[in-house]
Amino acid sequence: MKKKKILFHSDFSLAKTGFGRNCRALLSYLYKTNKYDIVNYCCGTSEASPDLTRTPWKSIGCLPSDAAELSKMNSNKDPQFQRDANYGAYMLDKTMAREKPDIYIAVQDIWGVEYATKKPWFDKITSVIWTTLDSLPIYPNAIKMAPKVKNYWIWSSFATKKFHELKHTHVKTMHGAIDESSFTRLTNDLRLKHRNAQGITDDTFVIGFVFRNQLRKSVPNLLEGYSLFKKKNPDIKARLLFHTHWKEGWNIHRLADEYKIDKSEILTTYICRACRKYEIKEYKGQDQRCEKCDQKTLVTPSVACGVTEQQLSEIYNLMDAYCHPFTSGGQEIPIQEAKLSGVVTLVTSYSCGEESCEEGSGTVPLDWAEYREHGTEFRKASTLPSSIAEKLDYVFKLDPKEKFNLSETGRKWALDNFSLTSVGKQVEDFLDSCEPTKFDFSKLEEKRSFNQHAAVPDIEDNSEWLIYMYKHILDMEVDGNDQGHKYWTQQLSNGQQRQNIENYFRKVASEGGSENKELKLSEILGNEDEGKRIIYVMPDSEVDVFLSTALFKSLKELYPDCNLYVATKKENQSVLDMNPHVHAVIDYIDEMDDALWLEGRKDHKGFFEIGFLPYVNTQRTSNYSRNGKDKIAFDITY
Amino acid sequence: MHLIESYALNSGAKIDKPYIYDKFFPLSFGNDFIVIQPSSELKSKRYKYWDEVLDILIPKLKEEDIKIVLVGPQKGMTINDPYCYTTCGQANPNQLSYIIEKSALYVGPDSLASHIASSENKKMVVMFSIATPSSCEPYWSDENKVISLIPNMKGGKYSYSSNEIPSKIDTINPEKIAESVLSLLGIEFEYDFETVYIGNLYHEPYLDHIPIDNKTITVPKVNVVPNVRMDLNFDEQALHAQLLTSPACVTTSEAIDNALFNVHKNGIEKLTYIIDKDGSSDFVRTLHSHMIKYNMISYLSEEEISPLKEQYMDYGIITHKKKLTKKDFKQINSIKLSDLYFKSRKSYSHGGKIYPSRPHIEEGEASKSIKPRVLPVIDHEDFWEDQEHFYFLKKKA
Repeated sequence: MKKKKILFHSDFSLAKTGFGRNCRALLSYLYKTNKYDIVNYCCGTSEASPDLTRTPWKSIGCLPSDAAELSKMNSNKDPQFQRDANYGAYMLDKTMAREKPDIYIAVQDIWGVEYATKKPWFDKITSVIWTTLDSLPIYPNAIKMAPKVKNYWIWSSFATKKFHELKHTHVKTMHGAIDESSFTRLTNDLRLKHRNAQGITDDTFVIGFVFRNQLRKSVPNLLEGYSLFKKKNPDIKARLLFHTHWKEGWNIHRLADEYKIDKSEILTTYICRACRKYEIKEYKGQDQRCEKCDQKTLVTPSVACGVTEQQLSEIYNLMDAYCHPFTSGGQEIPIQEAKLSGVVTLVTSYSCGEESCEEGSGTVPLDWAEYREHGTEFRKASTLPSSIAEKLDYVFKLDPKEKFNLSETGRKWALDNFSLTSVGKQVEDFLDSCEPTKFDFSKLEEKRSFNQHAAVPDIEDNSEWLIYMYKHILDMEVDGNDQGHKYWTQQLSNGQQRQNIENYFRKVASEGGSENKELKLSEILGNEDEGKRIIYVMPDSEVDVFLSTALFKSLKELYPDCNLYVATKKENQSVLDMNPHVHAVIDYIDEMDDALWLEGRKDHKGFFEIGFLPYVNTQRTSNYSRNGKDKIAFDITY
Repeated sequence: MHLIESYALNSGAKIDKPYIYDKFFPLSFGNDFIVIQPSSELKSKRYKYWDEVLDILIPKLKEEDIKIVLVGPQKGMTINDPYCYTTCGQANPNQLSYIIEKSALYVGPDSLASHIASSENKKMVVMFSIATPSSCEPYWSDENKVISLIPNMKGGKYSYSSNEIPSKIDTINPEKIAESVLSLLGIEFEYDFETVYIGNLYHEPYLDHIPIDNKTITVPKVNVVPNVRMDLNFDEQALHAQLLTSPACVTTSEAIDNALFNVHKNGIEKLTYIIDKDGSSDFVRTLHSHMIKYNMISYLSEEEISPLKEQYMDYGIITHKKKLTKKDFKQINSIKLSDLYFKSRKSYSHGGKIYPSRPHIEEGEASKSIKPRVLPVIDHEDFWEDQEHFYFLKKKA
């Protein structure tokens, strides 16, 4: 029997991101069933990446490896287009046509997959959107697309409930999968042994936080809460353990000074870039000396250089409490990892934390105050430092048995709801219930059609005007939250003229885009020979410039009153040294590709009477070689 | 259409001779020299077999006291023969023009140098590769002063690409280039062989050491690190002995004792682990923990490798390899085996001696040095396995 083919559109399964780890865990599970033909379509990864061959299933990059294709893609400077391309939009149709999957599963941030729902095949085959939504009110596009997305999965029940309130009851919760075999509670002896190896004494109360050092992780709140906790318990030996990268995001030491926390009380994980062993100690900067390698190779963990899951489990086991204050989040995987490692967790009870704090989760909830995020108006949580202090005090004072029971409850809850066994089985059952596709992928074509001549009505509101142009010129459905929309809104508020933006959209539609650089060529040329200039443009290659010198005598004979300028890149200019026919050599710039920009049109008077761009037929497109079989009917030599 | 014709038609101008201002470049000899451009900014125009051309050419030029000057970029330049005076990476276009103006002949790819030589109406051998010759041929030369060498296109079309795999230019036979140069210079040409096939790895030197009886190899004065072939004879003691003598690469299909890495981890430049069905990721983990550079290869089929990837995917890519046999040597049916010869830059070291191929070990035919020699082929499966390292030649009747 033919295996069902699944196209799993997400981060590359070996990427150290939440989506990447979910992808790896789940695809490993599905691969072992031997029931499916699996393809991982990898966001942000080049087709040519050799790492794609490492996985037992097929992995495909979403960015073109072909230089010409890449150049075409990059010529479109619209930020929305570029972001979508990184998420996989540029190659998605081509990939679908080639792979012909029975089931398409897109697992990504909502803006990383929403374009997929507009594809002609999306509702013709079994398609799943499996996304993270972390704030209220729910992202409007996510709601708008709900009727069209039959299989709509959200990583946290927090958002699912809101969909149900809006009568989209088919939306369901599907947690990101965590491979429970990697995260275990160590025996007490082993745990103490690991702590001692890291210089952590038995009587130290270690409060851990595993996080990407970014704005939405409430580091200041935790430091303030810790400070309050220490004030209340001045005699206890406590330490914060931040498993994070210190070269980005929050300046932790500056905040520590503000909250009067001794820096030696803040430990961090260092990983050796060479031997990959980790050490827990006070942060003293990057590139610290690794004792094993005797080299300056110790750095704090990042997406590029992290610990293994087994090491991470050991690090959780060093902790006495795991505290995760955050403004909002899709699932916050470290919370479940900490639970699976047998650590009592303290979690902000907003966003996905609402679910983490549900009855039976074994979580100690942290109280929070609401604030609104500038620009999006999303509700966000600011975790109360007083609550952090109070709950740390509570956990610290729990007797060992109560603490064990609480952590066991949390571990069971995480196993029931987030383990690979649990999530993998749900996905497997779903896949088994799907019918193979009958969709004819051979008819799949790029439906997006640019219209550079589309009429744009006089719309007063800037936002609506931009949305109209996206839709009718670039055939893109966007709203105010899209990157491109935000970019152009900002440009308008900075005084950019509407006409210029409209021209840019039309140019993108007609050519695939080009940058609108400021240029002051007129300053280079001066006024002396205005009206008596001709230019010969040859951007590339010493060979082409050398060959071109064979034409200059003739050009001077044809235009004896004009000065001949030659534009080429700096590296070719010595070929023109002392050339008796050339008035001046100037640097080539992209704008010179437009003959009318050189010669003038409408209100732009141009710079030269004639612009010769003979390279267009040889360097921009190959329109001369003709298999060496073409002929010229007249003599073009002296 | 030639490039210059395209430019002329576009700009409505007539074609004269091109112009470049010559600038002096110091040369330590007179005008009796030829110019070779061995490299190019474009990878697809870099010819790999200049050493073979020079092997034929230099003795003849020496007889006539004609020197060789190398021009062009330094990047990709591999000639290291004391008879050649190199200006690679040193002369700008104006100085290049000065050198060519003084020379007797140019040989190399179509390039700035070839067009300058044409504008000077110099004798020239031009090697075409990526573009149709009529679009970039010497435009200003007399016909009798130019020999154009065309690659074997095998029915295909020109790529117009800066990077070709394999490079078409390499299908031009070395003896053809040498013959063309000598012919234009009016020097008689005699050579007993003609090229049959040049393996893709022939241009790179290799030294494979089969460990046995603690016999070690002293690294010769070439830029090559010995590769200890534990897959051919698993002898940890001999590996230990070799690593005490010099750094080495290691190829193995079995796990090597961890204790050896404790002593020699800095002496192993790279380890190639051949993965079979019984392979274990524990060994790769060991390599990883010792920070030893490694790569993983397998001769298993894709279907057999896929299930194994799960245990190795955290440690890198498993490259699929195919063992070559006599059947893979496509020319075998058109040539009598007795007329077939080979040269190799890959040598085997065994028991303290150097051999030009593995079957030569069995036959006890050692070499005096690792310098390639023309030898008759040996019809043995181990010989054919290395065929991509060989330069095959046919003896002329």
